Amino acid sequence: MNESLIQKIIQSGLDFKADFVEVYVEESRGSSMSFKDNKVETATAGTDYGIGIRLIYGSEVLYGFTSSEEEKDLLELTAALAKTRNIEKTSSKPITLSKSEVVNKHQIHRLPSTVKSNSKVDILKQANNASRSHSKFIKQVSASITDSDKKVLIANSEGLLVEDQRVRTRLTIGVTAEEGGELFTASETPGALKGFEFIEGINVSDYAVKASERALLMLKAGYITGGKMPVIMGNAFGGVIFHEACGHPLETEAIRKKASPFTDKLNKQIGQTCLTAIDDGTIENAWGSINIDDEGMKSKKTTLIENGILKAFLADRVGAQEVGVERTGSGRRQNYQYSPVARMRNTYIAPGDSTLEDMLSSVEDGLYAKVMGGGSVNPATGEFNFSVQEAYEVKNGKISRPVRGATLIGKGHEILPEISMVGNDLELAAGICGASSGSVPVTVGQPSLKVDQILVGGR
Amino acid sequence: MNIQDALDYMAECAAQVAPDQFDILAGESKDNSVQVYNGKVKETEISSSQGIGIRLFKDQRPGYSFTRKLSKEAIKQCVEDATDLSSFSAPVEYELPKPGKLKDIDLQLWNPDLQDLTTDQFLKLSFDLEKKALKADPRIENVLGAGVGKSSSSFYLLNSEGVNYNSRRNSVMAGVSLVAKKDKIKKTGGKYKSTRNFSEIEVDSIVERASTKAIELLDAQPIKAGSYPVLFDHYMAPTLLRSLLPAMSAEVVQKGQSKLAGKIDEQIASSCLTMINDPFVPGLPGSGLIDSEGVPTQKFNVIEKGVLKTYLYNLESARKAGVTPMGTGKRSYMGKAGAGFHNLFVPKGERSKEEILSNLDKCLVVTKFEGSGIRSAVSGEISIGCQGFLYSKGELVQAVDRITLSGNYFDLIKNIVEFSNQYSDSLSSTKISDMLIESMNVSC
Repeated sequence: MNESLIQKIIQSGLDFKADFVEVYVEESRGSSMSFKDNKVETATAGTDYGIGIRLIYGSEVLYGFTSSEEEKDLLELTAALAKTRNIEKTSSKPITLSKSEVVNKHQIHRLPSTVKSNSKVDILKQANNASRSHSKFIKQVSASITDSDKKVLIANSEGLLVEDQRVRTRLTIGVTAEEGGELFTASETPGALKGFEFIEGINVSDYAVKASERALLMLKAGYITGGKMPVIMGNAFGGVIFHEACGHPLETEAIRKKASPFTDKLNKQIGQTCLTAIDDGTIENAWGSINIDDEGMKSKKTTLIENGILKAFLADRVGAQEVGVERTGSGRRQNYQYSPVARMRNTYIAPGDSTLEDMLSSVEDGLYAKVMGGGSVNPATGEFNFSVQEAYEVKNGKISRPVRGATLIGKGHEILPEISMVGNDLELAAGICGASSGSVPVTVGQPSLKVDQILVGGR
Repeated sequence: MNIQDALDYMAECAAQVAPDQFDILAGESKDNSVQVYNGKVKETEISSSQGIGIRLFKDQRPGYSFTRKLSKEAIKQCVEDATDLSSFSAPVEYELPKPGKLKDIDLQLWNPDLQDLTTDQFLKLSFDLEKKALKADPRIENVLGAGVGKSSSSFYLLNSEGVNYNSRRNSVMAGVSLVAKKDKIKKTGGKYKSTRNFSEIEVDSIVERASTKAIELLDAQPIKAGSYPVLFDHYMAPTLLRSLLPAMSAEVVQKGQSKLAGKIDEQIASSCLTMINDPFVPGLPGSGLIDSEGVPTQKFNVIEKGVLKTYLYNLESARKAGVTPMGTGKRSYMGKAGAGFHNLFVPKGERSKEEILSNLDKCLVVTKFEGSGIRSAVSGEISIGCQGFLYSKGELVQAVDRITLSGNYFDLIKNIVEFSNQYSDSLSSTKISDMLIESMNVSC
């Protein structure tokens, strides 16, 4: 899309007396190859293209999108948005767009478009074979490689014109174990803000074996008796609880609607001093990193909680204005079909100095939730509920038998003060986060943690 | 180019690469919505989107590709991508269908009057919803959002065998989401009404439902752990049973991931459970005359009085099983076909929820799930946080929260005691009334 048309749209929005006008243009190419039942099941490719136009009046957002790049359609869309406020067109001061260069912190070495499909098939076969040869009880393996190459252009009435390219690659391995009519599934899903070099740089067989071992282990696991107990949460994807139960309520989208238990807690102690939590969009090539956010602001590292004290919210343009805080380069959206709001990037709890052994030895009777499954939270009340994919009972300071069917239930702001020990084994894990501006890639992470008491659902 | 031109051009490009067969799916949607917060307009959205995708077979190998950019270059590239990718797929045996006879019925999925609704009408209604929600009860402390919107979509399918079909549908939706507070306890409640008739949107009734949902749980407490008869209300019963549906997919069965494998004509559930696939109910969102692979749809029982009668097939799994496809293929223009119900009906029972509860010494009524929990169609495992109410002989004992229900789907469907005589009023493709389970495990 040419610059003069972008300028015309912005000028038109200003003519309709908008306080702020933004044009977001996106074109992405994606592909996916999946292997199942010992063969390539699907090979797909797709192109997405669209333009989002945002007019802001005060804090009121008018948003429209279309896949048409015709000048007439785009100017009509701008006028249709303004018409919803019954605004008459006038003449505004001409604006000039000034191109900003993005410093690309995340080098891409092999663009997905340069990779032959054969190479993907070989890797998928490797995952399939590693899982199936691991045990005769592995009955089904599905493995897929998905990649996307997204180019965005963001221009606004403050004169900003900036472009960025985001390339992401992800491997997904899902295995089903079966024995005596019992079935259990487990998966591994590594991903990065990288090209195909990411897949080439990881040990695919290790991931396949890891998923297989978990499915086999849990197939034979017993059930845990539910109740309140101390829980040690495993590192890496264990961070999903912090992401859901504390991260979302720290986004200005929740704060501005007073739909968060943290609304009036800035600079107050909300956790024990061992707790520091960070949302960092700048980690090199991490799955949730961005050079710039979807409002064109350079990404940042934001300390959310420092030694138990709430230090910051995650803020987009409108959220920052409504809540009265600084923007944090966190305005994100799935694609042009969404207006951006503050979202997490790579969110993690900073490492402490405890070892897993220290934590285990402090527990007489509890649960070690080694690998978390999915879950969700109600940001307004803080209520969360998560399933545990791989869990063990802890008895007298030692890991005991594996257990299945465990869920963790609680309220984020009530659990934070219960985190009493933080491990030294921080790891990050890739995930997809869904919220009002769609599904965006994020990283969750944490070291192993001890929560003194949490409700565990079981049998 | 418009969507019809894109379809024609893609078909022309496809013919040039001489595939064995191909089909093209396309979709177009238009939305207009508003959201208000705190007496101000929060967001107004006007949007249109379109996309087109091809499934192309060369040497019986399928390749898939799609584009949302409807330019000649993008469409040509799309067909080339599908052709290239087909060489990496494993060969399949199924063939695309020729045009079949479609049932002669008006499914009433389009109301032209909705197209005339304006943003001003939506704003007026949204502000009304917010205002009334705030006044509904002194315990309502915040209205998180009130909004109204309309959407319309069109579906196009053509294939190399002569199928050429399109349909369209529209609807309007209004809702409110709010927070109630008592002391330090907060509960949320929401109600979103979707309909094809704007006059059916009643602000008072939406507000009443949303506020009741939040307020009635403010005094909730856990109950003693143990086994309880459990009644899932007519909003939760569909949510719970929908998670089991993948186990009925023939493809899942064929790939060794369903515990329903080999169970055709076996009693897998209580005799009060019948599951009907009905694509011909006027107005319901799942209704349609043709599936997304071009096969005419049919009404049939999947489970009949607890006996599994059939799996759900797409073209590929039907061919593999040697059965005639029944029009349950499901796919978007972006990828491979799965299989599923159009509208899922479980016939209602005879008694009301109140009559059912009056006979039980104790019964946990579940009205809300906390998140998705564990609901696996593969292992059958269920472990999910719930909120609701404890009843004794029809009398309310207490509101309940912070509990987890656990069990197994394949046991649960055998332990269904009864369905009530009332479906929810949602414009939903799943209609299941209140469902009583003999016993489930509660932990807290």
